[in-house]
Amino acid sequence: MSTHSPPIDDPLHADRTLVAAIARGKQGAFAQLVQQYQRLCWHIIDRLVRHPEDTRELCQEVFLRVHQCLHQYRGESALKSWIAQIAYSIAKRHLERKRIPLAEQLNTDSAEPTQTAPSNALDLATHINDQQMQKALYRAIDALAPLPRTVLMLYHIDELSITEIAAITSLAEGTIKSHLHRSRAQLRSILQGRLGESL
Amino acid sequence: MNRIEEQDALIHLALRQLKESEPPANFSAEVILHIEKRTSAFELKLARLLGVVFAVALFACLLEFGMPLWQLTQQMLGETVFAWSLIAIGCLGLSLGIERLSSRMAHLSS
Repeated sequence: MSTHSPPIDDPLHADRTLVAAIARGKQGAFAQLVQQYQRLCWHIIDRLVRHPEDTRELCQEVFLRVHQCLHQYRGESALKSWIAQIAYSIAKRHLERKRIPLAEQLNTDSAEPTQTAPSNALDLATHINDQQMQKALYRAIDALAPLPRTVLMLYHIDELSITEIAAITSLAEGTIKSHLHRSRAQLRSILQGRLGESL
Repeated sequence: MNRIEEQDALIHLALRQLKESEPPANFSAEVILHIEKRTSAFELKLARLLGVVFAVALFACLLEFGMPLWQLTQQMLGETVFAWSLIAIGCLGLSLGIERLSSRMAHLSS
């Protein structure tokens, strides 16, 4: 397979084309950008701030900032990552203003894998679709601090790579892996505790 | 796959099934409206401010140097050349004005 793929297949080419169209003042180009990235932006902010009205305002602020600073986008990284970085920094600043800690210091015990009986994985599998279990999962996710929650969901739901998440949050890849490990351990422990109660 | 990996795979599955809050259907329209309002309000304010500054400066200059400058230029050029110069300046101004207007119309229509 040739390494010289046509530029049209290059996602960065598509990003640069869209940005150039916006710079030329092409009608509907910026609306296209908003429609393309609004879900990701909304999810990042909502997972961090957990307040519908604040999410709406901050998400609008993100796209205003994108509109003002679009000339600074050089097309060297994906537009998705660039917009996600802006969304993350705006939500982070909002939390700092409200004095909400981004991440809590977890004690080392919670980072350890939960010791369970061999049958528990199967039990979890049979209960994972239960409404009760879903509710417990919601609560467990809400109980996480904003940063680990966002990292966990970006990785598992939006399927971003650890490198991409590190770029968005300006954290080291090791820190992202550590947050993922701890959050999953916490979820496992909470869900299995819940399972123990229901059995 | 060990036990922990198996459980992580199930957590992954459960997370994929979560229903998250989504942006409202009219969100992009809202953003565009917000940007248009903000941009047009800023441009309008700036244009008005510059217009006022220009008018005040022009008025002050005319008051201070208008008459002596007019008479001096008329004397230096002679009546006929002065009149033709005024006509040429007028034509140039009109031409520039029309060009600006047409480019603005083209920008708006695009």
